[in-house]
Amino acid sequence: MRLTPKAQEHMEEYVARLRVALHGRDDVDAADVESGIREHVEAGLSARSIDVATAEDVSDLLAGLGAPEAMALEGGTATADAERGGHDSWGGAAAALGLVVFGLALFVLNSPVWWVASATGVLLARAFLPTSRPPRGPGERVLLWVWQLAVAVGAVGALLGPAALVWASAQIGGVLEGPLEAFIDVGAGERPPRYWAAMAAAAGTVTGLWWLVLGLVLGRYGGGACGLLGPARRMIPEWAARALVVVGGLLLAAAIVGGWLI
Amino acid sequence: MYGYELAKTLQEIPSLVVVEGTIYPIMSRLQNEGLVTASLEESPEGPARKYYRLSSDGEAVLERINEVWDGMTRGVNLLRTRSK
Repeated sequence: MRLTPKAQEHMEEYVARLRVALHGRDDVDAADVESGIREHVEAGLSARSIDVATAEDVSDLLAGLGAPEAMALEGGTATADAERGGHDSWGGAAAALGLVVFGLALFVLNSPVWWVASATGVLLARAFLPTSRPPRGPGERVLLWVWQLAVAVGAVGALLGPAALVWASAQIGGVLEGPLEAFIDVGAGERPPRYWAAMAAAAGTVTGLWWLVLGLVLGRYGGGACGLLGPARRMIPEWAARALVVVGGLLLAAAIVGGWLI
Repeated sequence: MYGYELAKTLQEIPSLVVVEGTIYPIMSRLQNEGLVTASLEESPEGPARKYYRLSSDGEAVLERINEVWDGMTRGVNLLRTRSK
């Protein structure tokens, strides 16, 4: 029995809410409750003889379990604590965001240690967000959205992504310059149009192959590779892999056409 | 009993309103208090399941709860009889 990606996503979202709801409860082992919930869903799917569980199948079973927040309010002296739920670390999440922005500012100012501030901020957010109480009010909801998508993609992807993406091209480009000049028979320093076409074809080939490799690796191992990105990690591997494979393919095609035109 | 089985059994009792999910935090708390033990056992239908059983302390507490419940129902029934 297996779950479709959407079904798995539903499951993980429910479990994430459960972790938040149970945070602060000393009388309950949150990991134990989580494993019980997962086992309950598996048993429910097995009872219905479902081999491939869709998102609807999982949602139906999770609806029967009730909202995670209500589950955490289950009787006993923990009621008031569960309702307060989680440590009030939205200040911590905001401070972590501030660290990332500070790191970006250092990057603009050409500081060599910009990555220390940004990476620390992302890691702190990774620690704060899963254990914070549910957001209250539009301000905290926007902050949560910023962390779940914008920071993970913008701060990490926008800075480290291009570096990884063009690294291979930059390395190979430096090596190929001399041989290309000899191949297309131009003097040193001469830059006729066919030189640029040859450079573009070579750069497209190398970049396209590199992006294809990155896309395939992210698609296969993206969950582990993007573990630092916390709640956004489920989104990154899927979309990054698709984008890289498509763009890599386009670059290769452009390189083939460019090489043919030389 | 394992968790899913426990949830379904409770649901079959008429007029007993149970939110299935609350079973798991309750079981966790009862384990922490030493009233319930849990063990993983192989299942023919898939992965191993966690089966819950009352510990000896749990059996003693259950006996005490039953005594209190029996006493309460006797008292209520007596009151109902006298009030007629």
